[in-house]
Amino acid sequence: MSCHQEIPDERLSAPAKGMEHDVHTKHGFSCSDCHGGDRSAVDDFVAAHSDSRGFKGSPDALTEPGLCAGCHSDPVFMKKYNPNIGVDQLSLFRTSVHGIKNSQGDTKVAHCTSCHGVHGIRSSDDPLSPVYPVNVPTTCSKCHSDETYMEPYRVPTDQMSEYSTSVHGNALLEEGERTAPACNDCHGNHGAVPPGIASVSEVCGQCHSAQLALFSASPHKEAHEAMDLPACEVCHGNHEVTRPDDSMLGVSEGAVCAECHDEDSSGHAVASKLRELIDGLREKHESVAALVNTAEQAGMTMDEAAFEMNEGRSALLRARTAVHAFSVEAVEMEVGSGQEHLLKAETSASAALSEISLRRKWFVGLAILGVVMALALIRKMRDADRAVLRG
Amino acid sequence: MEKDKVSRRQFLNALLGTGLFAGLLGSVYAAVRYVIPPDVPEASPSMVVAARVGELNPGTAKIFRFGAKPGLLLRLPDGSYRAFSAICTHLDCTVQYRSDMAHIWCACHDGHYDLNGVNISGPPPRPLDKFGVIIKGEEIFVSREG
Repeated sequence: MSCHQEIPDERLSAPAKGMEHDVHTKHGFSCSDCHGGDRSAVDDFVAAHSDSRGFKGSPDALTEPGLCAGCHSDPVFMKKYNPNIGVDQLSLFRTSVHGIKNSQGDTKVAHCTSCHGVHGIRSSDDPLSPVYPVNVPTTCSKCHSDETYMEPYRVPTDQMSEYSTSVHGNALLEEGERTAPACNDCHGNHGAVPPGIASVSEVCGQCHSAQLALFSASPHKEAHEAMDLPACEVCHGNHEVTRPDDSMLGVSEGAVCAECHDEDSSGHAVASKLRELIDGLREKHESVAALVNTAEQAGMTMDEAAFEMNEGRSALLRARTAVHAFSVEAVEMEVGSGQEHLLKAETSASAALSEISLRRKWFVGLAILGVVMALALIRKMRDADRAVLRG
Repeated sequence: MEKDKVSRRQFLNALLGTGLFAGLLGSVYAAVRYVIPPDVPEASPSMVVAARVGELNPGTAKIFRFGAKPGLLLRLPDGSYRAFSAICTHLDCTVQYRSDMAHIWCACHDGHYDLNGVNISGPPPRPLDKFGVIIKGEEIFVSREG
């Protein structure tokens, strides 16, 4: 490595730079473990790079997966360095679009070093690694956002621009929430493929399990399958999935239900009713929140009302989740529970505001009385003075 | 003229007498309300009575009000108690105890926590806030200091 670092030719010196950060270097591996040759012949250039001593040179894109797998697919060997590391990367890679094309001789598709880097490979839990969760979208987009590079594959190149504006992208890239999904959470990493129509809901359901369970038991599941439609994606989109709001539900402008359900269909009526129920609870929550806020700002302690408001809001969120059952009864049950809690909060806030009103009336009345009394007292003192003067 | 003067004096006396009486009444009212305060809970208490001893069977739980927020008091199968904030760390829904799976569960988005309050499945990004439990006599107190 020391020889390469001093070579004036940048092509030969650059790989040796940055190796101090390489996870392999930290575990005691050297150049020859990947490139072959004789690591003991440090003063003999010819011997060190001799074919007879196993020198392989720089592996190409087609041989590289096998080279890395020489160690990374060996469970006994890998266990010495990390007992929990997976050893199925190559077998997964061969099932991926990248791996299949690589097997067919395509050197442009991603292989190990395309994502992990070449020299200076960092562990995937190192925040500077290109495969650290928050860095994955940028790493994938190096190729997938390059129109020229992707042109032969006829693959869209807008995934990153859509993802970065999505609720998932915002959580990962803007808020640094590492549990938010990156590309590999839906597509896989070493076995990356686009999820098939049948498996979209399974992919989303990895995190959104409540919605998946409701959807799977709903009439929509069968209908989507019959029409060869994906599940979640039809309403929510894929890379551009935005934070859902109530305007998506129902049959008014901007709602997704009316895109499939005709005006005279039962689905249209159910969608309309679901929206009405959700809107009713949300509006009630907003009006009661304003009432409670007014009482709080007037100095009243509104803990009990705030507690009930929290329960009402929980019911609203549960009702929004229950929408995925596409059943009026399921949503009505949650909305009813929410209305009960909000009624308690409203009663509490109204009582507090009545108390404030009463206190104000007392204050005004007593203030007026005080002024009148002061005037009367002044008058009486003058009368008393006159009586004294008259003698 | 004299008659008018007497009338005005009487009026002023009556006015002052009434005023003094009303002022006295107001003072008595304020004193009574001070001695017997209205039923307003303490704002943001640091400790509340969550339950009475024997109220919860082993393997059950209850939601209690901790100031403005819900808390979850859990009685483990071995009879010991644990308490957590009942607010899900995902989107602030109220969580509940599921005896069938021995998990703390959020119905809004199927978030699961273990009985240490640690998020173990679903969307919750963080564990639940843990509270302290103190048993004094027949009452089970829960404090913010976990």
